[in-house]
Amino acid sequence: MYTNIISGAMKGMEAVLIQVEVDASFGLPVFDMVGNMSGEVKEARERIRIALKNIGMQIPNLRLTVNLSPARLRKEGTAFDLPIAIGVLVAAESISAVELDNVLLIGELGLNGEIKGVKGILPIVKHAKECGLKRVLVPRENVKEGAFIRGIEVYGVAHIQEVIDILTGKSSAQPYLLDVERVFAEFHSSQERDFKEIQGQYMAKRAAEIAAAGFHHLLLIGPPGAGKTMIARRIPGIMPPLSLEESMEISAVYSVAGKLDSMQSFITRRPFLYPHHTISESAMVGGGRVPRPGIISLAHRAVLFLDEFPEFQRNVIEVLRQPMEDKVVQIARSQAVYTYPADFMLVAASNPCPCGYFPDRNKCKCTEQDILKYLGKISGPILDRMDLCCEMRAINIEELQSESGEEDSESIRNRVLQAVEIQTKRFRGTGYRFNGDISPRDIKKYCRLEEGAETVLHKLYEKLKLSARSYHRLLKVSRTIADLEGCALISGKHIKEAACYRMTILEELEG
Amino acid sequence: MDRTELAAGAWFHKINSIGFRTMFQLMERFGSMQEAYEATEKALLEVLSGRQFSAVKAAKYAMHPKDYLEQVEEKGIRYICFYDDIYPEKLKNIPDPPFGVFVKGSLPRGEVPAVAMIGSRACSDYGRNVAEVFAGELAAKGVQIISGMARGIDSISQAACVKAGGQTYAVLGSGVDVCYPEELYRLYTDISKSGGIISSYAPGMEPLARNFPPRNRIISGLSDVVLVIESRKKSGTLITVDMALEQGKEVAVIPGRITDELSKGCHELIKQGATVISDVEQLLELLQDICKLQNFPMKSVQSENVHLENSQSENIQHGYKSESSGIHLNNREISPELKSILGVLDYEYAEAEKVYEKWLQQGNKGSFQELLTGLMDLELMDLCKSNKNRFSIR
Repeated sequence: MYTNIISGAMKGMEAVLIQVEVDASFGLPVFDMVGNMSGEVKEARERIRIALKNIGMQIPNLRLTVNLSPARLRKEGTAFDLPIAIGVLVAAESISAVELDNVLLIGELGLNGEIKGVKGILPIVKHAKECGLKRVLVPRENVKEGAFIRGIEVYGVAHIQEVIDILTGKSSAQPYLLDVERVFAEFHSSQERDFKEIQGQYMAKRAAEIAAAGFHHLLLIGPPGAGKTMIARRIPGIMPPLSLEESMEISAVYSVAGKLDSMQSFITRRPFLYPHHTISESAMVGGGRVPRPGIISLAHRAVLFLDEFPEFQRNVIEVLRQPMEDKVVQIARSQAVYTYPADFMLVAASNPCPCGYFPDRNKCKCTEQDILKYLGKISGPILDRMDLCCEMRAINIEELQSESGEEDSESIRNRVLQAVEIQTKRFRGTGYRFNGDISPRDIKKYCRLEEGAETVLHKLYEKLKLSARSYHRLLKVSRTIADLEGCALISGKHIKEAACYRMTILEELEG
Repeated sequence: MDRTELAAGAWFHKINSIGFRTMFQLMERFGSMQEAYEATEKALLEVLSGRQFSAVKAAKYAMHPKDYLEQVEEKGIRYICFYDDIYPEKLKNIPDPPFGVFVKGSLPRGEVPAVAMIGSRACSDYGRNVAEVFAGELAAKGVQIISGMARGIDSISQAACVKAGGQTYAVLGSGVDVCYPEELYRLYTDISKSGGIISSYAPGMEPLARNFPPRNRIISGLSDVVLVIESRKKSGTLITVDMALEQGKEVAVIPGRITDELSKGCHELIKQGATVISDVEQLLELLQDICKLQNFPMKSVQSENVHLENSQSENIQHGYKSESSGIHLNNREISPELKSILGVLDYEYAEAEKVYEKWLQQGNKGSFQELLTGLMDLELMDLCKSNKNRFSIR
C-alpha cells in the first residue's frame, strides 16, 4: 500500500513542505530510502526499526520504499524520523483509520519511541498554516514555538504512541494554546537593566538614545571601567518593544539556528549579542556546509555589541560590510545560496590606545604612533558606516558614590518611541525603517533644514573640515535628534549637537 | 678644504670600528687623513688595533675615498670635517666633538642664537600646546631650533617652526638619508629644505638604540639654550640635559603641575637649579644674555607668518584677559549662556561632561544637549577649541 505524509524542512530561512511517501509491497524484505538525503536522514531507518520494536510493533516482512520529495532538495537533519515511522506503519497497514489529510508531522525518534525536539519548528508551522494545513504534530519540546502561530492546531507530542493515538482518534489530547500577549506582557514588565544605574556619562547616554531612536551604528571609545559595556547592554531596553511581527521574524532565525527550547520558545525581548573577539568569520556571518545563521543574524533587529573592537580579526570585521549595507547576509554554497536577515545595530567599543588610559598622561605612555596604529586596526569602511562616535572618560569615585537621580530607561524609551513613530510615518512605503538606513541619495529628501540651519551646517563643514561622508552622517544624526524633539525641520542646534558625536577618529586616521 | 683630504675623512668616518677618538689619533700621527690612508701597514698598526686594521684593509679593497665622497654627494649630502672652516664653532667647543658630520641641507649659523627644544615622545596636550607656541614664536624672532625629530615634543616643535617659516635643524641617530621615524617623512623633507638634517653617522646607518645618546650630545652642542618641555623622571631627555650641563650650556625648563608624571623630570631639573621659563619673552631675554647680543637680531621672517603668530599670541593674551577682567571679547556680543560656558572652560582640555558638571556647580541650569550646542557655538566663534569630545579655551 502507498501512503503520503506531509512534513517540513528548512532551506535557509525558507520553509518547504516535504512529501514523505512510503510504499509497502511484496518482495524481499528490505527498507529502502531515496530522495537526496544526507547521512543523518538515512540513519532514520535504524532508529525507526528499533523504536517500533520497542513499542511492540514489528516492521512486517515487506519491501518498504521511502521517498522524500521534492527529490531535488537536499534533506538534512533528523526531523523526518516521525513522519517516516508513521508512514511505514500506515503503508504496512499496522495501524488503520488514520486521519492524515492536512496534517504535518515532524520530530526525531529515540530508540524507545520518545520524540525529541528539532530546529526550525516556528517557520515550518507558519508555512504549514499558509499552505492551508489544519494540524501539526511537533515535539513537545518545541510546542510553544509552534503555538506562537495562530489559526492552526498545534499538538505537542513526546512519544510515538501518543502520535498514533491522536491520528487514530483514540486520544483526547487538545491542541496547545498559548496566550502570546500575556507572555509578552510578562517579559516586558521585567526589564532588569536600567540606565538609571549609570552615573554621569551624559554624552554616552545621549549617544545611546540617539542610536536607539534612529537605529544608528555607534562607536564607544573609552578607558577600561568607563562603562562602555554597561551602556551597550542597556540599549535594547530603550529600543521600542518588539512587535509580534518582529518577534516572529527574530524567533524564526533563532528557531533555524536551534537556539529555541522549551524554556525560551520564542524571542520576546530584543536580543543583545556580544561575541568574544576571537570569533571566527563563519560564526559571525553564518557558516557550515549547510550554513547556520551567524551572530549577525541572531542580532537581527537588535544590538550586536563588539567589545575590544580593534582586537577582532580583520576579516571578521570586513565581512560585516555587505550585511550592514543590505540588511541581509547571503552565504553561497555549491548547492544553494542561503539568505539570512541581518538588520542589526552595531555597537562597537574600543580602548583609546593600547594601554587604555589615553589622554590621561599620568597613566598612559603610548606614543601618538602607538595610538594611531591601534585605532588604525579598526576598519575604515566599517567606521564609515557608523554614524555616532562617543568618547567616554573614566569615572571617579565621587561620581560613583553620588546619589544624584539619573534618568531611567523608561523615560528615555518614551522619547525614542516618539521618534520612531515619526520615522514610521515618514518612511511608510519607502523601504526605509529608520534614519540610520537613509542612503546618501535620499538625504536631501528626508533631512530638510530649517531656515538659517544651512549656514550653521556650512560653517561647521568648513570649521571641522568634514568629508562628504561625515557630512551625510551628520545630517542623518541631526534628523534623529530633531525627531527626538518632535521637530519637522532640522534646526541649527540639532546640527551642532550632532557634530559633537562625529567620527573624530576617522578624521584623525585620514588626516 | 682639500677635496682629497675631505674624501679620506669621510671614508674613514664610514668604517664602523673606527671611532672619533681613533680618527683624531690618526690625524695626530699622520698630519692628515690622506696621509693616514696612504700609510704603511706598520705605521697604521701603531695607532690601530688588529681588528680596526683589517677593517681598513677591507674598506680599501671595497671603495676608493674619492668614489665614496662622490657617492655621498650624489645624494645631496655634504661631509663637514672638524678641520673645515665651516664646521660649527659651537660643536668644536664641546668635549669629544665628532670628527665630522654629514649634512643634508644646511648647518645652523653660529652667529644666530639657537635653542634646543626637547621633551617626551608621548607628550600631553599641554606639552603639545607649549611646544607649538614656543617654537612658533621663537621661529618668528629668527631663533634657530635644534631638535632630534623624534616623535612627540621634538617633531611638534620642529613642525611648528617650519610652519612659521623659521630655520630648524634635526640631529638624527641614523644616517641623514634614513628617515626615522618613518611617518615623519614630510617633516623630514621640509626640514632638509628650509633647515638641515645633521648626523654624525655615515649615510645608510640604521637608527640603532645605541646611536641616540651620542646624538643628544650634538643637539645640546649646537644650541645655546636647552629647553625641556615635558619629561618623565627617567627619560632620554634627561640624558641630553646631562650632556648640556657637561658642555656648560644653559638648561631651561617649562614647569608643569606637580602631580603630572610628564612633568616630574622637569621639576627634578628645577630643583637642581635649572631656569624656570614661563613665557617666550623670558626665554628670549635669557638668550640675549647668553649670546651677548646688544639687540636681538629679530630678523623679519615672511610677513604672513609673523602675522599669523601675532594673531595667535594676541589670542593667548586675550584669553588671560578674559579670565581676570571679566569677559571682553574683541567687542563681540555673546549671549549670557555662552558667557557662562566660556567661564567654566580652561586652558587644558576637559571632557564635555566635566565641563557640564562644573557648569552646573556654578548654578547654571540646562540640559547636557544645551551645553553641547553652546560649546559648538563657541567653537564656531573661535572662542573654544575641541579635540575629540574635549574642549578648552582657544
